[in-house]
Amino acid sequence: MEVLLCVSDLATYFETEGKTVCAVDGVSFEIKRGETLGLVGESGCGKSVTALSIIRLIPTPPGKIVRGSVLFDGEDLLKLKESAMRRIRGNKISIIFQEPMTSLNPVFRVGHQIAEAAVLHRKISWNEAKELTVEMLARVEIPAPKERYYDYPHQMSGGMKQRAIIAMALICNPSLLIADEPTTALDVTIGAQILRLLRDLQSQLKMAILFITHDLGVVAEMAHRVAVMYAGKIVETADTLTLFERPLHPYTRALLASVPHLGKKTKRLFVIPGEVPDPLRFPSGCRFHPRCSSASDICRSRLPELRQYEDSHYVSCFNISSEAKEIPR
Amino acid sequence: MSAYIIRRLLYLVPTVLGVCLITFLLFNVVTTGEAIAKQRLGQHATQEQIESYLKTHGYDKPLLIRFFINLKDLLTFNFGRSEVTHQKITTMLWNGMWPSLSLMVPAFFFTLFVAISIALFTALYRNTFLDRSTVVLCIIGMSVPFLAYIILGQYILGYKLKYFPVTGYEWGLGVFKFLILPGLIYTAASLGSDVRFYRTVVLDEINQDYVRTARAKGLSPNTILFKHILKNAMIPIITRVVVALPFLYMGSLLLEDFYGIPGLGAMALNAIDGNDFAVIKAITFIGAILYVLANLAGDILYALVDPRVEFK
Repeated sequence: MEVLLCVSDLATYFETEGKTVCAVDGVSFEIKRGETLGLVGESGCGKSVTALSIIRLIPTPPGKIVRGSVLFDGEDLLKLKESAMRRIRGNKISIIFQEPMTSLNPVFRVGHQIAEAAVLHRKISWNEAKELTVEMLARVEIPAPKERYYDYPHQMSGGMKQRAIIAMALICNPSLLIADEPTTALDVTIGAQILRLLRDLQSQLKMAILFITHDLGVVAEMAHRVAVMYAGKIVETADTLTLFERPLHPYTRALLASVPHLGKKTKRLFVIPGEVPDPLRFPSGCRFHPRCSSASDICRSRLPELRQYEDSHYVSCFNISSEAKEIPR
Repeated sequence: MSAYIIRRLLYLVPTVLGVCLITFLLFNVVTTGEAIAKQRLGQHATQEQIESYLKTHGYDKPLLIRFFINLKDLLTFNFGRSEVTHQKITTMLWNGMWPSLSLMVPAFFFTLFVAISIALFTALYRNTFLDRSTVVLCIIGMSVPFLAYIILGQYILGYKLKYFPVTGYEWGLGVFKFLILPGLIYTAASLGSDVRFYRTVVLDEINQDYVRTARAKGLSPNTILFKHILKNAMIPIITRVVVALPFLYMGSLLLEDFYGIPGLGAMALNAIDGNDFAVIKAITFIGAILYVLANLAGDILYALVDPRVEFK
């Protein structure tokens, strides 16, 4: 499959009061056409900043993309002019956010806000855009879409709003959808409906999804491949099945160990000791070493690079157990 | 919508009654008839003179009766005659209203337009040198007393450079040349605090999630600012404008006094100077009523701008 998005060595720093926060620090990954990549990690590990950097919505200042490239369809988005970037946002790449309650403008009709994107990018009249919007509202399974077109955001429930936001994101048929924790703010049943909807829409529209979440269950359900992020870096990437069956990085292993299992009797759930490091003062060497049970001297002094094991299984760790064989470059 | 307006209109009844009560208390209980009489007639007035003043002004009747007479007079806009010029007060108010409005309405809306434009502009360039220097200028502008603007404007632009007449007024279109200078002075004096207020309003909105959504949609900064943000910012803008509206009718005490504009502001000042209690009472009442009406207008405008305001 053809590569749609290729992020390499992306780094986004925030300058606050003379200090530099390395929110994203050398992140590389690829997404193929029509594929879903799950990006997982704890809060504050840089997932959302990665997403915002890709479509260049980092608030600048204080944020700044300091290096790297984001090749989308062979074009480096980081080199585009702002006006050219605007033609891509909401058109070829769309993003949906975590907060459906506040993501819509409260004083404009929901339908109008969705149609606005179509009028902008597809160069069609408001009447045509309205028809298209009603069609999209039906597609995201909002009942009575014609009437709902005229609703204001406060007249919709959270799940309904998130559906409307998905309709807005997809109205121009993007080839990449970035979903930044789209179900976190919703209750579990509504969240599950939204996930099913996203999967259905993906197979209909053949778009790629960068799915950002901290929920491993959601990743297992949604993603073809997974990238695990820790302290501004990707520590392991593999296809979903491999990652869940043979996790190699101690952080991934620990994450999986802290997920409760149905039917398994556990007295106490496993907890990763320590805290997510302060992005102002990352530990030397491997950023996970203070919390890692198998850390050795080299971990404290040197930063491990992503190395390939199996087919598409990349891990950045010095202490991979011997049964996993590194594939030399 | 109409139900909302009707409901809101019904609220006027108790509010206006409250205004009448407070006006009555101010001139009958807070200041007693005797105090007013002494003030009018001077310290050496005889007891007989005071009693006859109280009688002609109805202060000899019991408080409750006085309240109802007062209520009837206020609600029918029967303010009587000035105690100094003996003109009918309604005529005085009518004649004074036009100079005040002709000065204040253009000046106010011009200032509003300029202030919001600058605010949007600085918000677009927030945290740049341009934005910071605007804020500094605003604070300097706010720190200069109103009187300094008036006197300096009059002295430099009127007296020294002779761009404008120093003072005066005429009826008809020729009034324009007399109004420009005080109008500009009003703008200069109000701009600092206005720009700062509207800038804060716009900056509050700029960090909202819906702005991020609008940017993610690919909208241009101008569309986001003038469409998405401005409509949300209308709510605090309306609040500020509505509070200022009654003062447009009342005019500006200082501007009218210094520039010789025969408006209600100057009239109020003269009335206070000359212990003209009937005129003071009329202006107090009209001011309060206008305030109530402006708030009504504000509530209706809120409902028009913000769909979350319930019409029911």
